[in-house]
Amino acid sequence: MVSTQELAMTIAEILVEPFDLEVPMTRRILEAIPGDDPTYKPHEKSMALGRLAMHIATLPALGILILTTPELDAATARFPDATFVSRNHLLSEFDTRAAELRAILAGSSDAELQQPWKFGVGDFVFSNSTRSCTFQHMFLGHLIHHRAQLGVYLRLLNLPVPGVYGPSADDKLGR
Amino acid sequence: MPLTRLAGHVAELPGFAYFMLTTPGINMGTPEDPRKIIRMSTKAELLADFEPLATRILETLPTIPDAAFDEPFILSRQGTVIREFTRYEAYRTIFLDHMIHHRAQLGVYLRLLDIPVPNTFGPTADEK
Repeated sequence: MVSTQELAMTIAEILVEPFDLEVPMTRRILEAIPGDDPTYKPHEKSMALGRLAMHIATLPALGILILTTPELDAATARFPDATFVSRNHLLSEFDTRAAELRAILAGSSDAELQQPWKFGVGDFVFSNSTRSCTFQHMFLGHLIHHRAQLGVYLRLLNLPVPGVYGPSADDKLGR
Repeated sequence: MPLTRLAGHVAELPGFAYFMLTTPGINMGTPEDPRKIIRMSTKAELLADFEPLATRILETLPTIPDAAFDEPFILSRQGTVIREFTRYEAYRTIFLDHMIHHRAQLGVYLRLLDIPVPNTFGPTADEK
């Protein structure tokens, strides 16, 4: 066992690890969506498939805001357009933004990542936690959350669901 | 997965997390497998199962020294290694992120059952 001293990682390194795990898993789910029926929704109150997929594909833009701005006011913030165009467009949006976010994350100092990042609507503050906690929660956790919803949409459409934390009911376990 | 099993799976995860924090590994599908599998019968029982498991994690986490998070945690099934994690990776990936994943699936089940969906990362379609 190595000593704690040798194991000390920067906050960016600690956050890049799950990024490199979750982002490719997310891409596999995005690759699996049907390109021909973006209006599908499992329930009238549900987000349409194309919009949910684009929300996921554009989430790295939120990650970039968390890392590069002092605060976000949802009342005035401009989010990327989440209109579904095609699966290729979706994947290219995701790849471009995810690559940009990874570079910014990897280049962020401990001091920057420990600064508070305020998120609210007007005067109402939802969160004023550190950038690192906010990134973990509002980017990574949020990505995992919507990706899992998209997996249920695939299941309801009788499409194979890529395994994420373990095999899905479509994966063979070899036994 | 049936609703009752999915809900049970979400509820049992903090139970598994305790072993991620305190043991060298879990060998699933053997008599030594310490995990308590939860199968929901009633909502009250499900919550009564979940709450002490979650409380135990909150009590245990502060007692784990930083260095212990770098120790290996080995997930196996009947002696075959599935993956070797650090304790930290196991806790983050197969407890926290895994819980978020299945919780989100459960939210879709609620929606399909016409039951209001509690918000997690932001307002749901049930809220103004």
